Formats: sequence, C-alpha cells, structure tokens
Amino acid sequence: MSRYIIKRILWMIPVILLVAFTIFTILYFVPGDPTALLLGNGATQAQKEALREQLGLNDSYLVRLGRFFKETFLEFDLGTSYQYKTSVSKELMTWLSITFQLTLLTFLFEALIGIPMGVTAAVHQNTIVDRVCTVISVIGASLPNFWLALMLVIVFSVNLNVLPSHGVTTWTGWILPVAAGCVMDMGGIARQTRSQMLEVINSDFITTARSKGLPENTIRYRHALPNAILPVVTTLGTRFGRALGGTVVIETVFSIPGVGTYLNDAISARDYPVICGSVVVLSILLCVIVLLTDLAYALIDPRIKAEYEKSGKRKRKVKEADA
Amino acid sequence: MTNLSVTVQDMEDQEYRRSFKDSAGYATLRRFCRNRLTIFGAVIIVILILMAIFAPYLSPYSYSTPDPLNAYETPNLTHWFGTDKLGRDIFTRICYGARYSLSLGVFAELAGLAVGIVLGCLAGYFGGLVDNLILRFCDVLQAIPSILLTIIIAQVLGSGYVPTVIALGITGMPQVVRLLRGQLLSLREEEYIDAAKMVNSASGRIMFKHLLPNAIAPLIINSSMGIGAKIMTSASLSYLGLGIQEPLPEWGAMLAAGKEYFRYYPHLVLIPGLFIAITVLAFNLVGDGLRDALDTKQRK
Repeated sequence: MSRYIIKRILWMIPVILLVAFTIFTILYFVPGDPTALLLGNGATQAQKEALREQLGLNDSYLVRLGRFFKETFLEFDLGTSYQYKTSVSKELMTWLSITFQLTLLTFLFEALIGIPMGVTAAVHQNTIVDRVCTVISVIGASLPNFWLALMLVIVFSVNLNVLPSHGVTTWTGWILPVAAGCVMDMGGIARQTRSQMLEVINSDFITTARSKGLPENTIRYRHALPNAILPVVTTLGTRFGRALGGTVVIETVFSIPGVGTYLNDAISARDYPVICGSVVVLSILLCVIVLLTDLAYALIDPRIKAEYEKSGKRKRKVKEADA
Repeated sequence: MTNLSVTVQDMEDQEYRRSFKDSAGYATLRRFCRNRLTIFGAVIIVILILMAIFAPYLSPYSYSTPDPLNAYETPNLTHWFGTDKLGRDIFTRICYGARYSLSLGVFAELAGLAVGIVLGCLAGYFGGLVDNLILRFCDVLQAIPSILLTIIIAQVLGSGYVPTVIALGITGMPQVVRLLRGQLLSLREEEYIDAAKMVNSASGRIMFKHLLPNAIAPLIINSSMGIGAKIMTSASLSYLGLGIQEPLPEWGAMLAAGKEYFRYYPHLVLIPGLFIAITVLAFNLVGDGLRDALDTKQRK
C-alpha cells in the first residue's frame, strides 16, 4: 500500500511539471500582445518595446521557460501580475478561498440531495417514486448551469426581488450560485447512487441480512448503503477537484470574485504570470484531491486495497513471464 | 454452439445464413426501442436535425437581416419566439442555430474520438512504455480543469467554428483513450487475439479489425453523452465570449447576446437555453438507452 502511495505521489511531479510546460508553451503561441492591452491605444511603439523589455517578453522561448520553472518550482514565487501589479500567489489565495467556499457549498448540497434521492429511487425500484427521481435527475443533468443561473435570477431577483442577483457579500448572495451550480451534478450523483444501490441490493449478504430477520431500514442504511456509496465517493472527489476550476461560468454570471473570474480576465488580458500560476496551482490541487479520494477509498474498502496490492504483483508476474 | 463439425461448405449453405432478425444488431435495436424515454430522445434528435436541414423553409424570415422596427418583440403569432435586439426572428435563428449547435457537438465528439481511438488502441495493445507515455499525456490534459483548458485553447486558436471544435475535441480526448485502453487490456488476453497473432496478422490489423469492433459499445455510449456535453460546453464558451460569436445564430451565442437585456426581455435568454437543454436531454436519454441495449453485463 505505501509503495502505491509513494508511486502515485512521485508520478504527480512529472505531471505537474508537464502541465506547467504545456500551459507555458500554449501561452507562448497565443496571439496578442500583453503590452498593447496594458498601455492602451495611445501607447507608442517605443513605450511598448520598453515595457516588453522590462517584463522580459523579448527573451527567447527557452530563457523564459527556464525562468518560469526556476521561479515557480525552486523559489515558489508565481511572479507579479501585469495588470494589477500585485503578487500572484497572494491574490490567488484570496480569489481561491472564495471559489473554494462556493465549490464546497455546491458540493455539499449535491451530495446531501443527490445521495438520498438515489437511495430512495433504488429502494422503490420501478415504482412511480423511482420514475420521478429518475426524471428529475435526467432533466437536472441536462440544464446548462449558466442558463439555470440566469433563470433563477429572473425569478428570485428580478420578479420576486428576494435574493441578490450578484455578489456574495451577504449570505443570501450564496443561495442562487449554489443552487444553480449543484443541479447539474446532483442528477449524476443520484443516478450513480441508484445504480450502485441496485447492484448491492441483490447481493447475497443482503439476502443473508433479510433471512436473519433484520428490519428493512437497517438493511438499507447499515448494510446496503455503505457498500454502494464507495464509488460515489470517488466520483464526488473528482468532481470536487474539477469544480474548483470549473465554477468560472457561475462566477461570471453572479460576478463572484473567484479564481475563475480572475483567470478568465487574465486570459483576455494576456496576463501570463496569473494564467500560468493559477493553472499550476489548480492542477496541483486537482491531483492532490484525486489522490486523496483514491486513498480514502482504499482505506475504507479492503477490496480495493487488495486490488491495488494485487495489481502491483500481477504486473511483476507479467514482467517475469516476458523475461 | 454444440455443432462443432460445421464445415466451410455447411457455413456457406443457405440454412446457416442468418436473417437480420436473428442478428445481435436486431436484438440490440429491439432492446433500444423497448424503452419509451429513449425513443423520446431519438425523436427529439430527429426533429432537431430536420429543423436544421429545412431551416430556410420553416420560416419566412431571414436569420441575419435586421428589422429594427420590430425589435424586442415578445413571443406572438407572427414571431413565435419573439425577436431579438435587432428585430431578427428568434424562431428562424433557433432553426439555423440547430445547424451550428448540433454539428458542433457531433464534430467535436468525432475529433476527440478520432485521436482518442488511435491513442487508446496504441496504449491498450502495446502496453509498457507506449501505454505509460500516452497515459501520462492524458494525465497532463486531465490535470487542468477541463473548462479552463478549453478556454485557454479557444483563446489560442481564436473564436470561430473550427477552433471551437478543436478545443472541445482536445479536452474530450483523454476520456476516450482511457475508456478504450481499459477495454483493450482485457480483450487482448482473449483467445481470438492469440489466434490472430498466430496467423501472423499485422498489429494494425489486430487493433482495428479484431480489437476495436469488440470494444466499440462503451465508446458509442460515451459519445452519445459526449455530444450533449460538448453542446453544453460550446454554449458556455460562447457565453464567456469565446467560441462561436454573434451574429452567427449558434444557441450559446444567442444566449450570450441576450444576457445584457435578460432582465427586461427574458425570452432572449429563455428560448436558446431551453433548446440547449432539450438537445442535451435528448442525447443523454439516447445514451442511457444505448447503455441498456448494448451493455451485456446489465442484461439478465
């Protein structure tokens, strides 16, 4: 097991380095000059040239790449934003914390509504309750979140005037973004929980529990659900990681100053340090979260743990056979 | 299966020729048709395709000529879905928009599939170093949150139809690779692959002729869902000011154009969004139906 963990962590390093390399290279080829956007229309060619020199944009590709890697991975300095003239790492922390809160809330609601919905549907398989849950989750999964967000704004902010349409300065401001954000994934979670529950509910140990005369609720929630929930937990973890970067659309609709907005602005302004820094930090977070969910999964479920250990052995055997 | 002494001659005899009704394809089709929700999804897709094809005949209005006197009309009898800020008929634009949105989803999915199938086959068949390199490449692409990667690629390539297809295709590719690789890992242990190797089939032939057709079912299911997701993402891109832009009548672009006025004229946003949602729903329903029809494991 520890071998597996160490191997996974070691694999993260080249992946992160490659992410940094990829993003830097893509940005190198992005058309558009950051100095033109920074100085505005009135700037002369000489001014632009001076600024390019000052920002180090005139150096060759390899020099810039080397400098970026050295600063980011050896000095842990993400540089200074061209637009705001502030430290990227500091700014990123404030923006990221807002996105983190939004993602966490959205995620909690997804799980708290999606999982019970899936269980209810599975327990009442092929009844009207199941159909209603399925229809709700299928439709929910098909609604574009930004559109749903605009519709919620029309209903609750414009017509009823009960909730603010943008900003998260008060707690009421969180309601609409979270509601709009959680609907799409909630359906997916409910459906996954349902199909996992259905698989478990027909297994032998459930029959055993029934034949022991246990009450139906104990069977459902103590015996079936813990076994069914594990794959859902993994999906939730991955979703959480992706959602950290994926809230950009919801953030734009509600003008929430999160990392998505920050990054999207930076991309339009060709603010290279901000783009590179945020993408590297977000992908590190994503990798760590995916790793943690995988590990949590293995720790909870002895079968998976055995599989990890077995897969290592099997590979070794195959290698021996090849030799 | 019991008749082991079948000769080639027997095989060629009429009585061994199976009619379409006995084939696996027919059985799949029947299972597919049994689900009413799936049929519903398929019908919606057909209607949308017909709308896209016959867009010029469905409405007397032009999708591009402005008519400022009739701007911001709410849905009524002459303009079924109302008109936008330039007075263009929204129903007409929705019909023409189906051309962009549907084809965008399909082509983006195909682009991802084309590259994903090649890489997935290579990774799953050869294993070892090739597998490791391809998987790490996918790791890198998947380590960047997908919507951000799409935004960045769309910025690099600029806005427009082809760049959007490429941007969506690249982000969709790793999933195809992983799915196919996983399938091939177990399939390549099958006896018929050993048999193919024994008669000295070329690797390419084994990959694309023997392995791929047996691994295609999950890919089909994945693609059906993928098309819906691609349509949704391309709409998000348009909303953020990337991807396809006004004055083209793509649904996401229409929604983006209406967002400034949506407080006063909700129909500018409501209708394109509704069409995106219906389309995504239809592809998801068909994907579900395909999973039920093709997945042999679930069948009891």
